[in-house]
Amino acid sequence: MSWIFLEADDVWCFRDNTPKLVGGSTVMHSLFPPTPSTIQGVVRSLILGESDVDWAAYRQQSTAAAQQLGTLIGHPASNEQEATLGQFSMAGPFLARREVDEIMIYAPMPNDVKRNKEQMEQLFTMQPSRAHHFDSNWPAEALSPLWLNAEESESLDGEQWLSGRNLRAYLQSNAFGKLDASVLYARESRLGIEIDYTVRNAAERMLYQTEFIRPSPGVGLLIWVANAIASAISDQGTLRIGGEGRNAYYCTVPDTEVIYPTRFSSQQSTSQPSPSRLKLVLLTPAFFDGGWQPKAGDVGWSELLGASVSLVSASIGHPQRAGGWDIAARNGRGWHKPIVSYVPAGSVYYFETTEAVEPDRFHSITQTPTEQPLPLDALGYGQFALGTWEWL
Amino acid sequence: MVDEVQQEFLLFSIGPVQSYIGAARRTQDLWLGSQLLSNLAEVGVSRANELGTVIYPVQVDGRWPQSVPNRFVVSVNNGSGASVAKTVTEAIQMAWGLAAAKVQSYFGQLAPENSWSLDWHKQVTNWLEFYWIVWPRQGDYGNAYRQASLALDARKQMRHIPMVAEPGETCSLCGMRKALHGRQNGTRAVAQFWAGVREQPRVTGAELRQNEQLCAICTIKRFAGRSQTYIGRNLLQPTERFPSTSSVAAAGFKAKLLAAWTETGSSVLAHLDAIQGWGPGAPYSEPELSPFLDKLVGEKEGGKRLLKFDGDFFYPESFAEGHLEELLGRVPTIEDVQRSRRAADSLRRLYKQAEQAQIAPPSPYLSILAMDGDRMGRALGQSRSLTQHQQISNALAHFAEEDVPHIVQHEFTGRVIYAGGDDVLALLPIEHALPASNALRLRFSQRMAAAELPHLTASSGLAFGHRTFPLGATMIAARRAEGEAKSGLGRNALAIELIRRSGATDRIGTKWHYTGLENETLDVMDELFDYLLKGALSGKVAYDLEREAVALQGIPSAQEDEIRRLLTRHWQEKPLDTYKLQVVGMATKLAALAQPGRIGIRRLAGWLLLLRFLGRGERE
Repeated sequence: MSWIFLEADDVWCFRDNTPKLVGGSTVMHSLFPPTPSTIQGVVRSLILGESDVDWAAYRQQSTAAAQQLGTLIGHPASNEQEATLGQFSMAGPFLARREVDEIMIYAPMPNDVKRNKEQMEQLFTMQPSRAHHFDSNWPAEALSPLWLNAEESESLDGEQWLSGRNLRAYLQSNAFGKLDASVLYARESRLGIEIDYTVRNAAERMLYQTEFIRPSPGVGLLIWVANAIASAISDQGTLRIGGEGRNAYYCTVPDTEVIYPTRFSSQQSTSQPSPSRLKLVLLTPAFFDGGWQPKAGDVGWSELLGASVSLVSASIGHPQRAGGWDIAARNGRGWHKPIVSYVPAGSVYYFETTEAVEPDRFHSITQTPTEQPLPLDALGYGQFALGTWEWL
Repeated sequence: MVDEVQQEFLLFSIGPVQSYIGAARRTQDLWLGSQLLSNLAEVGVSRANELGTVIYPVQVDGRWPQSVPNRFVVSVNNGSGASVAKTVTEAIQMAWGLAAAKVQSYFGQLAPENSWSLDWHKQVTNWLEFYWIVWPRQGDYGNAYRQASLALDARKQMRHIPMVAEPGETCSLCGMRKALHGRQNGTRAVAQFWAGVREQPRVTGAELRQNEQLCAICTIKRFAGRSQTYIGRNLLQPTERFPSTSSVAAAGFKAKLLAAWTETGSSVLAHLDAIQGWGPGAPYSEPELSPFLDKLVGEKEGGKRLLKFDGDFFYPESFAEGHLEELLGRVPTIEDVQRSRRAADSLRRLYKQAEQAQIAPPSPYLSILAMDGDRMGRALGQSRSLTQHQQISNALAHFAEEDVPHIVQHEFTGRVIYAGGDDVLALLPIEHALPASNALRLRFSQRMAAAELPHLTASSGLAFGHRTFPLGATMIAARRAEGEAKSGLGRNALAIELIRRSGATDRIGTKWHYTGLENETLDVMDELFDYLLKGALSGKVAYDLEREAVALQGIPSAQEDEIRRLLTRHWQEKPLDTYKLQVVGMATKLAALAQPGRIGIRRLAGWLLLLRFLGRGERE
């Protein structure tokens, strides 16, 4: 198993879906971490760039070398063929930080965590409650509310993260601490102005602000890739990433150096504990054809998790809408990727099950919209951590 | 009479709110987005009131507030809560469906080739979110309401996520849905589709700007006013005369011109003559709706005319050749270019005459105020009965319906976007931002004290942004500042974000009042601002203090002496001995605020920089 760790040379920019306003001032925000779609393009482009294959031949799959590469990382759609991923498979990107001899994963704060309104450092985790039953327009049958017995709690504000160790503590229902995003990265607004190329001067009033991300020293993006993919990448190097093609250093990292939450953090092994009340926390965004969950409900979940499960409750963050631009689409002319509403990382689902749930370490639970040509589960979406929960 | 033993709470919430209102490029977008949601909520509370007793909001003088909050509380007969909720949901959905259909019909006249209808239907159908819960009203009233609130929070944990996967060009206003288009959905085809809409004679620049292409939801926001669309009983108002960002920014300038009409009137009218009939907003058919300015107009000859011109025409850069198309809403001609020079000249003369009346040119910045009551949930959770709950709702309703518009629009030159309960969103020229926010929070506390809640306070966020800066981004900054006032400053506070055109953002804040201090913070800042504005004190004192603040932070005992030294050094009025008392007094007050546990010396330096900015207005 191989990981790739990306670190910024300076700053990065990953535009979110905020529209660039036409005429006059614009503010463009950065999404951080970037979407898996962005990173899969980076990794596949890296492999393509390090090969000797001509890019046009690759797009057309017109030479033997191009076809061989296509078998490995897939290829874009053309008149003759549909887009494929070949053997490409990744998980992430995950925010991560070098900490002495290891690289620690950081997970976004789970959505079911609240804080004390008065003592804001005190954190609570909501729990499903059977005692609190009330009529509501529940989005599905047989759901239980999440509840807190603590007085005066409120949602956390700003961007908060959990280190891999604190994530483990959270999943085990132990005390855990949070880390403010400002420790891991800073958001910098930079002013730019449009150029009027007819006069080769600044266009009047066409100011724009772009938000860049400056990761703190040692902070970067960690991506897991399948072995076949890792073999095609040099041990280290530089690449371009995100808006303005900013520079990044990359290196491959052995699995032994990565602190990544195991499937069942309550135990050292990956076998499932009993009784089977499983809490699933998304580590990367996921798409479901029912919006917040699979349209088929428990049947859908069971299919995704490979075992019969019943959803008991959930805590869902604000939808993350992402689209983007497919540069290889329409024979290289490019085309919009569909705007998709994802369930964001940090969303939590609570299940009960009587069967063993033993997904592979990087098993994904995302579905793929029909408008999307490539399967999202191979692109890093739907990664999750598993823990346990108790009734309130 | 409500039988309290056999009643249950219905808590009902409609969304999306922030993302919808925040998808705003212009003030009109903010206003109509807020109005649309409020009217949908009114449909809901009206229907609920037929089936139960609405506890919050309450009616004022027999009618629902102008801004009905998106979350309301109803008392219903035991066992009927779910069916009431479903009836209310259906009523709102029907109202929304009718409104959307009306705008669709109107838009169909602008874009007759209706292959966009399917996308319209999908986007409109998926848009509204409803969350409701039913909770028994048993035992202690306050505790039952608290539990009901927790139940609604629990329900909202399972947030609605629209099943959206839309390929194609994105809406240029919200970025969340694809833009409507004709048969073809290529980039050029979509642009041509919207160019065709824009060219329709009925479509104004206010409704659709160059290169804009909208989804169904944003199209409704833009065209609902023009299309005579009702939501429930309420006609959505045409938005042309809601002041633009430039008009909000220039409102303070207009007020000063009117106050000094004897000195400025002739040059004002000369400038208006120079731009008369030139483009949209020069003039509008109706004057700007501003009770404050109306009062100043009084009987002044030509004063009313000033209120009919958009604020854009009072900024010299508007007449630059590259901006004329945006100003006029059409491709400028040679005559327009020549006229722009005459307009620039007349504006220069107006500025000069204004300067002689000690009126500075208008600031290009405006402010957005977001205010929210502190610990309202806890206060409502301590209600002893439905009657007391309604009393609180009544106090909130009067605050929102009477106090907020009066303060923002009569005592100052602002405009209320939304005032529902303890939640306020308003636009203000920068010179009125601080006093208006202070007046609002004082009045809020007074209202609550009169409702037997003597210790309730409010926190406010202010964002200052350039008039051409994306309004949605300024609003986000205002909300962020409001959050900082609550969590960063511990409530009963004001936080400010100043988004400079240069790109830097300054953030400062203060408690409204610090224990142990004789003076309220803004009173001290007001006095200091007065000195800066009158030229008694040089604004350079702010830079000197900023430079020294890091070092002074470590020596609180030296701060007062150093502040006094800086004030003395930068005091402009002579002889200094005459003003010694003022200087010493101000130094003492500022030093008190600078102490740890209060504003702190570094943040105090930030305040001085802000006051300097407010006084100079960062003229372009």
